This record gives sequence, structure tokens and C-alpha cells, in this order.
Amino acid sequence: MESQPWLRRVRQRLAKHALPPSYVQRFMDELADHLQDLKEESMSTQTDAISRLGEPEQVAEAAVVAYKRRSFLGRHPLAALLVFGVSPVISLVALVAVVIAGLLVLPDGWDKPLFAGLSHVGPSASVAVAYLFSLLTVVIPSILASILYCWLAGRSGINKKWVLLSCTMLAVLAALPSCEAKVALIPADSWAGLRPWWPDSIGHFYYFFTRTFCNPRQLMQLLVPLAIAWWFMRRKREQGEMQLAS
Amino acid sequence: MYKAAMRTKRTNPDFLNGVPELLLLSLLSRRPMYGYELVQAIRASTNGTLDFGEGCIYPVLHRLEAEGMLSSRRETVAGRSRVIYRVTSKGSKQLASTTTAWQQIVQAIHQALQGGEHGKPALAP
Repeated sequence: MESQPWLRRVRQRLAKHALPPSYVQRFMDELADHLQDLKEESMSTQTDAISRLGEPEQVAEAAVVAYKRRSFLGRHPLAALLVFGVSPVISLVALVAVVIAGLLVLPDGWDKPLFAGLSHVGPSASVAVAYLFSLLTVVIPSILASILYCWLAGRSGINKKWVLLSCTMLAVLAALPSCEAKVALIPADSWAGLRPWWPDSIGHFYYFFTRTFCNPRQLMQLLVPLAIAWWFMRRKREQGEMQLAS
Repeated sequence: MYKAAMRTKRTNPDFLNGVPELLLLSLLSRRPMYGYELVQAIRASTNGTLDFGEGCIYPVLHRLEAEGMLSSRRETVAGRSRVIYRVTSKGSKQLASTTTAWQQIVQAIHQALQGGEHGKPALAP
């Protein structure tokens, strides 16, 4: 606690506004340094020094107003970490589920899902459809999630590092799954992810997760969110340059 | 004026709202400084015309830093630990755009005060 009454009054005033302790402490440290400089300057008296700093209430009010002008995520780093560091996992899983359901059901409804007609189109076409389906169910959600987090970062005006964090997480998560579609009969005791909709006569179709990013498909899944983050940051930079030009 | 600008709300036009920011960015673009140095620089560069509570400078600096326009680092200067502020590239761009806007406003107001083409009193004697 400060020994100087002026500093104590500022701190007491700030205490009424529940500001983060780190913000208050840094502010108080800088004010104490400033007060010390004023005292040392040309042998200023204590009264002179304090009058130059301003009224404690006014100085504290300026600190509160400046803090409240920050965006919610800018004021709460923990909330920013939750939003940009944790929620991408949940968002991506949720979006994958929504896109799978949408692609399967939207064309003709639950009674006649997408794969129901595959038994009529032949094995190679079925494999191509399965492959495309599995690709879209990963790529579309990762694109949507990346755009969502870029938009959120743009709206809240927070540091670009948060966009990089969320898009990197999305990129790694999106690159993990790959897909296998083979024309072979499904053994009776096997499990296939899409078995309820997948005609048994066609063969296997399943997703799998891998720790290696060796195939081009996974590389693409990795690069898409990073490309969106890059596009977002480039656009922000161009907007700044356009402001300059105008 | 400076004191008033420090306390203006966000709803005010930028040309009033951004005065402290403009001054701080402009001075820090010349060289990195700590808070007390900045106050001295403001006084020197404005011939002491601006009167303000010097403690009010820190909230503005902190906000500019939070917005990515300044960066800060604790350094030892003349045997004392100081928080030194520097302008970032984002801050430099902001300074350039705000300076242009400010010059246009000053010019427009000056023209209005002088009585330009459309500024002559309607009931001139």
C-alpha cells in the first residue's frame, strides 16, 4: 500500500470499480514513479508535485474510463483464451455434426438419405461420393469456424495473435481425420460410422484419425484455416493502408 | 482543452476524442519515452499551452497499448526502472491517418473563422 496520501486516494477510488489487480498495480507503479520524478525535478515541493498530477478522483476516473473503453475480450484475457483457445474445438465438432447431418439428410430427408441411392450407381462412383462427402464434412466446418473466429476478432478489435491461435488449432484439428472408402463387403461384426445409411452391398466407409499429416488431403485440410487467417490479417493490413491513402 | 479531451466520451467526434492520442503517438514516433518524459515533451512542444493532470496520461497510454498502437517494456534509465513506450507499425499508420484528418479539420475551422466563400455573415453591414 502506498505511503503517499495522494496515491492512496487514487487506489481507494479505483478499488470501487473492481478493475484487474495487474492493471491497477501497473497504473499505481507508474504514478508513483511520476510523483518521484516530480519531487526530484527542480526541487518541487510536495504540493506542487501533487497539483501537477491532478485530482486523485479525476485521475482514477480517467483510468476507469480508459479501461472500460476496451472491448470485453480485450478486458478479459481469460475470456479471450476460452473463446479463441478452447471453443474452436467445440465449434469444429459441432459444425462437423451439423454438416454431416445436413449433407446426409437435406437432399431428400431422413427417409431417403444421400447414400441410399448409391447401390444403383456402381462401386467406383460410390467411393468417389464417399470420399467427397468425408472431405466436405471436414473442410466446410473448418472454413466456417475460421471465418467465425476471424469475424469475432475483427469485431472485438483484439490482438491478431488470438486469430492465429484459433485458426492454428482449427488447422491441426481439421488435418487429423482422414477417410477410407473401400469397395468390400462389410463383415457382419464390424462397425462403420455411416452404416445406418450406407448400403451394405457397397463395402466399407469410415473415418479414421491419424497423427501423421502425410497425404495431400490432410495437408489441404491443414492449410485451409491457416489461409483464412492469413487472408484476414492481410485484409486488415490493407484496410489500414487504404485509410492512410484516403 | 487537453484535460477536456482526456475526459471526453467515445460518442464525441474523433477530432475531439483523438487529441491526446494524436499528441502521444506523434511524440513517441520521434523516440521511445516513459510517462514523465512524455509530459515534459508535451509541455516543451506546446510551449506549456496545454494544461492537464499529468496522471491522466497513463490511462491513455495503457489503452493505446491494449489497442496495439504502442508497445511497452520495463528498462533501466539512469539507474531507475521505467516503463518505456514505443510506437508500433499499427500506431504509425494510425498517426498518419489521424494527422491528415486533424490537418483537414484545422484548415476547415480556420477557413470558417476567417470567413471563406460561404462563411461571410448574411447580414453584413
